[in-house]
Amino acid sequence: MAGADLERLRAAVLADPALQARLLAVPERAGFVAAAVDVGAELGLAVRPADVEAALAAARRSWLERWV
Amino acid sequence: MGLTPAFAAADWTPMLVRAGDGEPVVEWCHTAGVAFDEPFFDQTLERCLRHPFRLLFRQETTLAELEARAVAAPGITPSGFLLHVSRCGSTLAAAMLATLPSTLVLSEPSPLDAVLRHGRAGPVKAMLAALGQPRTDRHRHLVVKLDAWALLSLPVLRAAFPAVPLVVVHRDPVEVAVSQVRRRGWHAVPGALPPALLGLGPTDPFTLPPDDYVAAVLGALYRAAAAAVRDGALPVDYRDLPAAVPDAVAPRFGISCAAGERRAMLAAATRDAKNPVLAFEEDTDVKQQLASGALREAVDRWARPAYDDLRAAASAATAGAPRP
Repeated sequence: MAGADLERLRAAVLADPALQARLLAVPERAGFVAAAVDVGAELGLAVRPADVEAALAAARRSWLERWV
Repeated sequence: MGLTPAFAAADWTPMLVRAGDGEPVVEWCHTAGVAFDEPFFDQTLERCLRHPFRLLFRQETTLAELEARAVAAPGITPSGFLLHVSRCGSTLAAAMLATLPSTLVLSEPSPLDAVLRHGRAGPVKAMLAALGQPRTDRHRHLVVKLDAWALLSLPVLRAAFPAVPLVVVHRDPVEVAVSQVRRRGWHAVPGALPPALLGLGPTDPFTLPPDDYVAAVLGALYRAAAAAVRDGALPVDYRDLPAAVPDAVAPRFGISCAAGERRAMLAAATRDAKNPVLAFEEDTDVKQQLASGALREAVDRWARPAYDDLRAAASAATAGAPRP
């Protein structure tokens, strides 16, 4: 499932400074989304651009709603 | 979730605490190489989160893991806490102290506010250990400017840090109220703070006229401020800024300033602390003139007695202070 593979991607990146550095090197959103999908593919994960975009939107909301 | 080998204390900073499945979760933002230059801590986090990596990839820990990390990475021992009644020059004081190369200043970090309001001393100590990691090799002092409503959490703060010096910045409540009515802080929004914490009945926040509610919140802050001063906190009047920062606040916090550092602190006072691109403008007279009769009545009813008590406590503290 897409959600599970995104969580696996998240866990893999958070455990690997080299993957963190690779994704930190792409500040522009479209390029970052593509890079995240590529990293996922290299790890054998089916992460789509829409999954990454949705996760970014959810993360933004959680930050904005921290006072609620 | 949990600690991983890649989770170095120096590279990640707590950014928020949220409700998890059964227990709170601390989320951490990747902040390696980021200078916390903005007037407020959360503004720097906001800048960090513009990078999609930092927005999407956040470490997560429990509060227990946060406390375990504090043992391994205790951070800088706090030199002092800046408490305040809001809109009273506290941001200016923090900005001035932040010019000192020796001093890491954290201004209203929301993750610390979250654990303070959660009410347990252990997570408060641990959160400040995580936030108070030195960011340069010259950092040896840590000053935290807290949110105004932290005055109402003083028992928890004191339980966590019984010996850290406190400074309370205050100002005439009419001038603070004018600012709050114009642009309400979170704490001045009805329902944000528990009414009982303000000495109000459960429906008062929603039935009191808006000016009265603002004044009632200020009354609660001033009562807590007076108690803190009686307990040894140093009172600083807005009218004594900016000189009080190098001359009274820094010494109270055990921070010495060379002559050049003092000049740099006073130079910072010429800028608007919340918006440093602007020059500082003294606005006591303007604020007094802007106060409506209704607002003055509300302040007199809800906040003036507590302010008078704070000023009495401040006078007593000054009278009892050892002569130089």
